[in-house]
Amino acid sequence: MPDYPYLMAFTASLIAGLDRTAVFQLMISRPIVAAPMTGCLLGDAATGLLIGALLELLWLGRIPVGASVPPDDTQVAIGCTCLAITQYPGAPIPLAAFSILCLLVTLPFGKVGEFFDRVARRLNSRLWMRADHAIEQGRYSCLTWLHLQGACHFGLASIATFSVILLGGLVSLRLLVPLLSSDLVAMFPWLRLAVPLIGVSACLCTVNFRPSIWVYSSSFLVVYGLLQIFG
Amino acid sequence: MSDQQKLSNRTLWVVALRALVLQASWSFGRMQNLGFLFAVLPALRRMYQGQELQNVCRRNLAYFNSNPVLAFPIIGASLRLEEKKSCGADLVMEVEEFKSALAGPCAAMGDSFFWATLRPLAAITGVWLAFAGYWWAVPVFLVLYNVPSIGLRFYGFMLGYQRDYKIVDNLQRWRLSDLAYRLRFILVVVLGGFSAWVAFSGIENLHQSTMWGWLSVPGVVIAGNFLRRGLSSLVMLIGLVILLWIGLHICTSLRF
Repeated sequence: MPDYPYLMAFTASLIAGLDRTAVFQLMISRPIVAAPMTGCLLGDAATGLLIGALLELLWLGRIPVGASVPPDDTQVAIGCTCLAITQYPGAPIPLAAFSILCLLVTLPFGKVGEFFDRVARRLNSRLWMRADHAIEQGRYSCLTWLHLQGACHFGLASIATFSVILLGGLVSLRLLVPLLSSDLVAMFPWLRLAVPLIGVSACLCTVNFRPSIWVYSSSFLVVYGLLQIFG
Repeated sequence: MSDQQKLSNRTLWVVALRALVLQASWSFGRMQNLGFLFAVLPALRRMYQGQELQNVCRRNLAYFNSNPVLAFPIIGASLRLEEKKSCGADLVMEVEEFKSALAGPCAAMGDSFFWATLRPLAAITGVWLAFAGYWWAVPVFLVLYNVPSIGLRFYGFMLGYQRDYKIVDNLQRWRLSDLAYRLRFILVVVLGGFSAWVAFSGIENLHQSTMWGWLSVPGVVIAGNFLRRGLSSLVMLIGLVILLWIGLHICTSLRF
């Protein structure tokens, strides 16, 4: 682990948070990228990859259409990875099982991201009015700074969300680890089976494809049959 | 005179690169309006001066909202129309009318193709590879999404600039809605295959008969029904953990 793990996580939070809406949208903000990236910065990319894959599945169907603001899966992915790596209590709890516990405690805080994102967008509403004044006064170079100020609002919203997730997650872990630590080992294989399937259900619900149930069932039957024969 | 090109290739590239941050000042009131003006500003400053520049900047600060990928052809085409207008040509349709007429359909097409189809397809491929333990799941996801997305941004921008009004014909010819439907079929097939693989490996890890895995399909369908009725996946997960926890304690107390 690096000397300043939280500083690294905050950096990842800012970069991925900007990519989410404001800058480029290269999908660095998706959990499957953001979590392994944070894991890599904190010295454990494999844990990040597991968390990212699970989170990606759970929130695959949430899409930012028009003015809708989905929960901040980016900051949940980064916060969860950061907590899983820095707070891992060690044996006998497997790291993967602890990662799933971190996922469960950080997931509800994704809603906080919605709030901060809305605040950033409301602050941005003032920018175009100021841009209108700048045009009136012929200060065209000011328009660039006003636009980039919007990106700063999104960046600050990301950092605020990440801070809440980190603090909330830390408190929740302090309460839940003593309660669940002995059961986590037994629960882990069941959760590893059930969590991706819940994610698949959530994704299937949002796919706008009429015969999805039949196509899904047929594909499942073929692959499962082949795995039973050759697996 | 009207076909004379005032903008250098360098200016066009500057505009295209600035359009990558189209959404930086996204607001509820006018959405991407300031982003649009930010993108085209270097070109407008080359075309207009003084009061004319002020007027054209005001016009470009009007409400604008589209998909961030398919906004590129609109920006390219609008730029060409502004250029023609600055040369004194009569336009069949005003630039603002053209922008607002195209923004809505492009938003619907782009959101359906990029957000609701291509991204989930790229993501589920990456997730499957990640579960199988391959670290290159991340680059595979990024390449699958970004190659078409970035390619279409820059190609669409240049095509929009070359074709102005006629970009509508190109957008129709791309048939993104049909392509999205076909890709959704592939997405559902991959979801089925992934579920089968997760169920098979999960049940093997539990040291149970793999015959139990066949129950995954009804399980997924039932869970889907609850989700469709408004139950969130988070509540479902928490419920699952509580049920597992209670089940484990009952099994332990019964020494089962």
